Amino acid sequence: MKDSGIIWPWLRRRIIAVVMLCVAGCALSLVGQPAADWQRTHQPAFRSEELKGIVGQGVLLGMFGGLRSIMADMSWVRAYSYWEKRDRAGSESMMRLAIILDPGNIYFWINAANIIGYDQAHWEIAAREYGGRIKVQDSVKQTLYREYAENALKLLDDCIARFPDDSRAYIYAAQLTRNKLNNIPMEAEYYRRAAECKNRVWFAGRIYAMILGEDMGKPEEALEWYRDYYRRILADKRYENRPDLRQIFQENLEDLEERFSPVPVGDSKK
Amino acid sequence: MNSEYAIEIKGLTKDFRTGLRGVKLRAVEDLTLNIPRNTIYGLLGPNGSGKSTTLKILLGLIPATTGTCLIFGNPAGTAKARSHVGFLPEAPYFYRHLSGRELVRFYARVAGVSRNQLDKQVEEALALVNMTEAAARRVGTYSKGMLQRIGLAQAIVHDPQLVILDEPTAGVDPLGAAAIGEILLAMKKRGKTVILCSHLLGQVEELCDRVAILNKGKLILEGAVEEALARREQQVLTVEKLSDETRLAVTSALESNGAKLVEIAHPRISLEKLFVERLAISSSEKKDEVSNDR
Amino acid sequence: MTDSSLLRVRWIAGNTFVEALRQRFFAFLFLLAAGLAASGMLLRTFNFGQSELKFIADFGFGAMFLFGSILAIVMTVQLFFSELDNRTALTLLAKPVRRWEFVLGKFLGIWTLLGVFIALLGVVLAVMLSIRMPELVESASRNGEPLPFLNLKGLGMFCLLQWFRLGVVAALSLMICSFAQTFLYAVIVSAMGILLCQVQSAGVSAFSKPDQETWVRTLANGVGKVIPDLQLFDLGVPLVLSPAGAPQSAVLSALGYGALYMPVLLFITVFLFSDREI
Repeated sequence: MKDSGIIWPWLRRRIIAVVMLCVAGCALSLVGQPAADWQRTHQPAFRSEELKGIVGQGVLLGMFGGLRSIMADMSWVRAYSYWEKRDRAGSESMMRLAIILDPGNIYFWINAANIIGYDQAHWEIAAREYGGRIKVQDSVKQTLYREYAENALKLLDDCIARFPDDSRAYIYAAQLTRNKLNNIPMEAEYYRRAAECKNRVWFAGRIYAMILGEDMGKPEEALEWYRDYYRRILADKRYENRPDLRQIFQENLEDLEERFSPVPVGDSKK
Repeated sequence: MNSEYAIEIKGLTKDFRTGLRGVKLRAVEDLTLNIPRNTIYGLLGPNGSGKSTTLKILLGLIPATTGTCLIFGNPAGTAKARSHVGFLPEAPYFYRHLSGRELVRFYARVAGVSRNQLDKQVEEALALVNMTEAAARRVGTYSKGMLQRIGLAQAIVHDPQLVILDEPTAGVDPLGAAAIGEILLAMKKRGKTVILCSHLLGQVEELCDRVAILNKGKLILEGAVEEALARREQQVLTVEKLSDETRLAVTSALESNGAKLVEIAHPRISLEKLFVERLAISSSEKKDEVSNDR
Repeated sequence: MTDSSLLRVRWIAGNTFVEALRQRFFAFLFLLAAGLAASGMLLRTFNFGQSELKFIADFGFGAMFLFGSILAIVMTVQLFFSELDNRTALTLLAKPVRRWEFVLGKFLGIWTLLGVFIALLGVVLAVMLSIRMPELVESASRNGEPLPFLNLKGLGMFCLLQWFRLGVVAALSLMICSFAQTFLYAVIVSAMGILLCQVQSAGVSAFSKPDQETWVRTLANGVGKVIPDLQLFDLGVPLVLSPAGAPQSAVLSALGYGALYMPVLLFITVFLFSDREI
């Protein structure tokens, strides 16, 4: 016999449970807000176009299953296996996937850029030469070197935008610019930014001054910049108790003055 | 616990929902029943009559649709009511990873037996059901009969006032069943109330003071066993050394006083009683032989 | 909660823990998890430099998450349904055991088991990271690279966070068991539920952008509020490998979130289970 009175208590209890879940979820989301905010800033969400790319790779479930980092690592290991086979498409797609999955790991950005900038042009040339049966012209080679280096630099620029305080990306960008593009002003600029960023490396300042003074023919500007840089470092409270730094800077400055200005300037000793 | 009844059921009805459309199945219909204290009470009925449903409602395992149930004056289904109850379900199944002793200890603690009484009560319960020797073995290695006995032990370990047994002798040999029967009689002597659900009508007849018979969720008979079974319109005379002449004289005397001799037959004992008696005799003969050999 | 209630909960929890521990599934899953975590050591052949520490840590964190979640879901469902299928729940609930004591006891037994699992895996990971760390420091110093960083206290805190996360997973699975009719249904629905909880923050961020339609954004934000966010507990890398660490507010927020969500889910479980017919 049918009886709606028997279904309603059953249904009512479940409706109440769902309502309780919703109310609790809303209330507890306030408790979790600080953690959620921190996650949002340090683990940016995927862009829709990135999502579409990932779906094709078949790693969606693993990624969404909370295994982003491990999927990124495995993608990177796969990229290495493609690297061994000199597979441009395979290695680049796996490297970019690793970057998308774990954009917080600067290792992926830098090494992907190095492989794209230094290796892939040679792979393409080798592929075009069909094992030496065809000779690729030098002009074509230069064009390829340039194209791949520019792709790599674009990746490094994205890396710098994400890690503006890490000097490593600037250094690798400077080296790539020198080795593959022969663009001295651009190289110098990267070294300058490496010297000025929050987690600076000291040698970057010296190299910038050297490039400015010797390669770009601006020795006075180089000396002036380096003296100013030295003053700013000395004034920085973070390096108050670093006599070793003072010695390094003093030696560097004396060396630069010797190169660019044979007569030592009195106030360099201050 | 001032009520004269151990269990009071009034107007109990239980409908089960079958499917999402709300079609209902009525398992118990308007059941009113009072079970006196200090009795062994048989609850009988064919499969699907509502016995198990009634027991589950008493124990709070399923809710009633309408009606009330009290256990020693406490609403059935509450923890307080259940604290006075020991229950052995039909075809019991227990945690296989525990030994028999561990199992009984677990249920004793859960039922509220205090730590300083625990060992004593556990060993008493095990001894009562003759499971002391097997108590160290894992429950997963027990036979069906042993499971029934350990189940009885867990039901009585906390010394409840009311014990509910659902088919306690299913799968148990006649000797074991007889032993269980003795235990139930001993419990009654100690003032306990026992509810026995069983399809073994012979055992129910022998043990129970009162019975209730259910069919399709309704109570069709309730009362004392003796009253229910007696044929008031007839009497039985048990006679020894009846010769043919004496038989004729008795028949003639009965007829002259308006009575009628319906049947002359030899009284029968039950097969179960015969079995138990014979085994007991055989055991005592063997003991005599052994002591004579010595 | 009276003393006797506490005792009953404790006894049920203890029995549940022992029953779970004696099952081969736990040992099997632990070995798999430890194997995955340890396989991070094989990465030294790739010469990742100081980043290798992150690779090892990622494998360990992933093992904790993946196998811990499987353990939490399957064990919870199995231990709950075995009571109903085998009718041991019949015998237990016929004692003066209240439904909430049964649910809480079951949960605490399972949560303790998950704690043991996380602790053991944490030890494995700590050992591996500690072995590799000095070698990587020496290599980085030689090559003039930034030195790797390892915070074992942070690893301890991360293990605590994972224990809380798995507690939420177990409580959610228990809630689903309270109304599920079959083991398979409970496992599948629980697994999908956990996946949803892990995905929700990414989905909400993706679908609540200004370029999306209003109803999509409203729905995404609403869903984000209602479904538990398990990604809050993903603080492994900052806690263990970053000198800056994770902000205390984020850690306390995640712990508080887990600590409050578990009793809420258990309350709803008891509410649904209280009228379940045994």
